[in-house]
Amino acid sequence: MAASAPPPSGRHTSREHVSRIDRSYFQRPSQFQITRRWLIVAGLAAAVAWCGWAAIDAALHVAPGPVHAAHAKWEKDCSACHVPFSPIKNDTWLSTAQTRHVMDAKCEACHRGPAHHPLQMAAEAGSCASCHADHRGRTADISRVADRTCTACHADIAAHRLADAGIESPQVTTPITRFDAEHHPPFASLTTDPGRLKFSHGRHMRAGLSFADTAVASDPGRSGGRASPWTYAMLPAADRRRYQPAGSREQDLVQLDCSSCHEFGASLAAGDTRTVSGRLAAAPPGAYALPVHFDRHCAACHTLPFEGVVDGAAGGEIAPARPDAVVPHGLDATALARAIESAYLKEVLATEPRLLDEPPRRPLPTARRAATDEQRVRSLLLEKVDTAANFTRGTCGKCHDVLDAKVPDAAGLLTHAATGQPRWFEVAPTSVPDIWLAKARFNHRAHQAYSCRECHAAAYADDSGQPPVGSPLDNPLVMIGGRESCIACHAPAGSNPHTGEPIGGARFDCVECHGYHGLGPHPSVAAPSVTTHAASGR
Amino acid sequence: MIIGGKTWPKDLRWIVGISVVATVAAAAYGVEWSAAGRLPGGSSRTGLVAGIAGGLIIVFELLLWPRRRVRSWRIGSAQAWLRAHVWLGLLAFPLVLMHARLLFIGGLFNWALMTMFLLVIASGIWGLVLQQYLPRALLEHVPAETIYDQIDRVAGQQCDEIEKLVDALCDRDPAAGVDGHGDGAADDDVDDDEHAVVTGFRSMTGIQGKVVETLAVYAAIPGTLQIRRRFFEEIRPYLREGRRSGSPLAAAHTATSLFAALRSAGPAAARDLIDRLEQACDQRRQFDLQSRLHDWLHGWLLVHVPLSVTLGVLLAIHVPVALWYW
Repeated sequence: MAASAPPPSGRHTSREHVSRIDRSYFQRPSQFQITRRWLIVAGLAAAVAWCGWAAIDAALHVAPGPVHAAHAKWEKDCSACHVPFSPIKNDTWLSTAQTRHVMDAKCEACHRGPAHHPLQMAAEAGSCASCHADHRGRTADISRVADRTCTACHADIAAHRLADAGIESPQVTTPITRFDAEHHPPFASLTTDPGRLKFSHGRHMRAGLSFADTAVASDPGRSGGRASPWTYAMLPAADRRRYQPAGSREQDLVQLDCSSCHEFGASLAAGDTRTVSGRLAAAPPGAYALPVHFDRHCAACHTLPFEGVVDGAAGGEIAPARPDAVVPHGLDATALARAIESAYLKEVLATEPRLLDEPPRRPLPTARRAATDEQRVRSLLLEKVDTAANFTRGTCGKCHDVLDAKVPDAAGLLTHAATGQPRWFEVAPTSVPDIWLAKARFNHRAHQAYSCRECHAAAYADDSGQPPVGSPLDNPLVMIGGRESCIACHAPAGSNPHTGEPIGGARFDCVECHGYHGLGPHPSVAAPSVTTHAASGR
Repeated sequence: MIIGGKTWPKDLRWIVGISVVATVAAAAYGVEWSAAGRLPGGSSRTGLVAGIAGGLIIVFELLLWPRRRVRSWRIGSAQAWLRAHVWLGLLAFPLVLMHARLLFIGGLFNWALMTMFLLVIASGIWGLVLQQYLPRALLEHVPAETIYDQIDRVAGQQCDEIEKLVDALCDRDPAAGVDGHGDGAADDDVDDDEHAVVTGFRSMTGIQGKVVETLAVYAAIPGTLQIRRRFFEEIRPYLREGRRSGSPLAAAHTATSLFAALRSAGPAAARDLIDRLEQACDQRRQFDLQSRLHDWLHGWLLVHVPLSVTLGVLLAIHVPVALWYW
């Protein structure tokens, strides 16, 4: 502390003796004040320096976090996504329809986000960034939105949609607040089987593909009349290699499993092509089974004869009367008529080659006999075609619904004016969905660690040894486990109160299965609606 | 004491007021949180309102500085400003916390701003606690309190007075120079050979304070050479420098022992002198304590004020930047 200077005389006065303090001390800054001032200057300098640094690298300082990897190119270009003084989310205080429109336009310059639902209230739809908040790190999944973005409306969907045409299915009107048995309706697309294919999973999953060991075997009306079990030796050599597991003998009964018919992209043979829906084509490889194809999955046992005999060596199947008495699979009525007529014409020409050598002749009086021969051949031919049409109707009808169809004479090879057209038919579309869950996504590959039986138990043969009840055809049954089979894993983690085993734990948020803008890639980047993909490409 | 005492009714009104505001804000925030299912951020309705309110409070808090610098600025009493500074500052904490998504924020700048705010609030609360208790401790334990900036000056004066007394009453040290053991500094203060002016403090009927006495000096007391030596070797350095001298006299019990030894060894006539020496050391210890308490009492301002200024600058940048891209 500064002390006052002594008086010039070198002696203090009495007044100074009693003046214990320097009366002017407050006019000089104390050390404390000097230190504080310097610290204030330092603080100001630090703040200004920080602001300068922030101006140089605004993204680091202002952005709440790194943007997603897909947006990394624009990490430092805020204006790529932001518009000055326009809130990017629409739950802010000053958000308006105009600001939302401006901000969404920024996103939609690259992304196409289809509208959620035609009955959706536009005013309630959030802006892009309201759901897909970025700046959460390079690897953050900005498409995985929180359940609240869905349940905000679906918890009371009636109050959040436009008046509709009276579509009031329970699945639509049920309040949905989370995924469990109480708060999520059963899967609507699994309530009925829209397929029109006659089929028995129960029979095809049995050893020998036969009900020979059951009472059904003795009931021709139910078993198809034939129940001889199939062995691997009865299969064509090429198919035998595919179906026969290693270590089995040719005399062993054929035992199919799910993958015998339900193949996934990765297991397709090169060159094999299937026609699939656009959604299936756009799905990740292995997510869904490819459609079953007759030539690949059925033809080993089932031929398509238009004239046949019972073949005891082939499991009692109807075998072609001749090797060439078969038609290809998948023909329409006209193609089928031409195929059968063509086959018989070949036969006739093979047995009566002179018909090819003799040019058409003008009828002569002496030609009456010849005309009679031609009529006999023609009559026989038409009769055979008519019989084959009926036979083939039965062949196709074994698995398909068949519908009457007309084939004009001009479209066929033969004229049926005299006898009338045979009862041609066409096969009704099978209508088996290639993806069953219409409003949710599923990935078989993600579930490949589980047994098929855990979700498709109904597709397996009855292990009880009891004969099937009713028709052995089980195609009306939906053999896909519904909500309950999902809940077993897709639920909060816990433990079984009885066994103590862990249960649940898999994600069960809405977007785990559903998509707001659709189930696949957005239309701008999706595959065409129908496409054919080859094994090599999948 | 800033809170309580005679001003408690006013404090109570502030407490009720900020409690109501904070509760209403928290309820609104909770409702929005519940409805949205996620923490409302700074741009949400309640978040933005809380941010604006918090920002205005910070600006008001900063205005305390010019208010104290410009004393002619008569807008409310200084006491009212200080009270508003304290209570509104406390209210700003929950408001800013809600604006900042309960600290779930990102961005270096935002974190710098938030860190500054938290440090300012924390230092302010620390200062409030100190201001609440230390003045009373100062009053109770430092009856000889003087102006902090004048401690060294007053202590020096006191030392000179005691030195003069010792010089006049104690035997000359033959081992020392003509002036005995003294350095002659005290001689300058002599204006009358028969009198010495000394400062002491008294405590009577609950009232204590400093007194200035003028003592008559008659003659040296025989047998006090030891007292003179101890004064110049140990007591005077402590009286001048205080605890900075490193003297053991800074500890009361050491001083008591030392002076007890002097009393037993010295003549009975020197008791009064020894008492005055002990009293001077005691007073110097009070100055030491005052100095320490003063450092505690005002040291927090070295953190609070500069950081507040930094906070103000960062806030001035935050507002336009946040509104630019939000």
